[in-house]
Amino acid sequence: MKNTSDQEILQLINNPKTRDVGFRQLIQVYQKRVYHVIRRMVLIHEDADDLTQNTFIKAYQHIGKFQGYSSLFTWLYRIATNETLTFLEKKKKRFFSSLDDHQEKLESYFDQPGQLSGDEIQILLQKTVLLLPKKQRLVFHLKYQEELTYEQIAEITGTSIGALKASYHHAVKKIEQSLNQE
Amino acid sequence: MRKIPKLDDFQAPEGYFEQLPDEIISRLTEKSKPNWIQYAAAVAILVVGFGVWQFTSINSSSDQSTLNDEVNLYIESQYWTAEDVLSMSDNPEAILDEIIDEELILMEDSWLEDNQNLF
Repeated sequence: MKNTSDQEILQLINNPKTRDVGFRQLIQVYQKRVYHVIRRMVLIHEDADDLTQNTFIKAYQHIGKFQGYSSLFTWLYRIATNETLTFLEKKKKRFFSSLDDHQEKLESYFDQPGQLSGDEIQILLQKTVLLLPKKQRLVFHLKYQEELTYEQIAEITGTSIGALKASYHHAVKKIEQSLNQE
Repeated sequence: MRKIPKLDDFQAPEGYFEQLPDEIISRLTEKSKPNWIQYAAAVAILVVGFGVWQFTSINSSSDQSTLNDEVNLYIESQYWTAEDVLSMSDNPEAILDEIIDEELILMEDSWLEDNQNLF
């Protein structure tokens, strides 16, 4: 079910005279959620900024294909998560010719001052989540942090609910084990 | 699940979300505008390139094929590695992106990789 705000935005976008106004509203309504879902995966602000901008640019280019079967936010999340996973895959593949390991760079990110509240549990938790395979990490963030339903996550990732439940279960188990060891 | 606390959100720089819509819209406007300088530069490069090619093609075709043979020989004999060839390229990043993009088309939406296939 789309909410009124989505319908208003789509009406503005579908009218050539108000398209830009509607698109600006779309960005204003969803930018924070899109940015944070990306940032949790890539950690570094500059990367999250690039991917957030690319997400909205792709949305603008393909808004004509949006059928309205899902909400705008699940559609935007689908673009954002595809952009993010593609980015992480590229970083991983680049490693063979690169001097620095992207994963190590991300892990050391938490040790920099000012990135997190400094709470030891938070830092440990962030590091533990980072060790998960990236798709498990994405499911964990969408389910646990964003509190989306499995149905919504299935729409975003194009994956079956059963597979998502298994993925989430494994992610939680690994995180709990890791926290209990400390 | 009670044992796991919620993760804190990372903070975006101050004023970031106030500027973001303008930045995105200005990128869209730039993309849609015809860039006459780029067109003029492209035409100039084509004209100069065509002239240079005309001038050199008479003598260089045999040199080029010899060079290609030599390059292939180095690669096939494994004297040069993939990293060597990339490092000699003017833009290795673009070549890598191209290779990765081709591979990603095959795996896009497959959701089948990672250490454990748990989807």
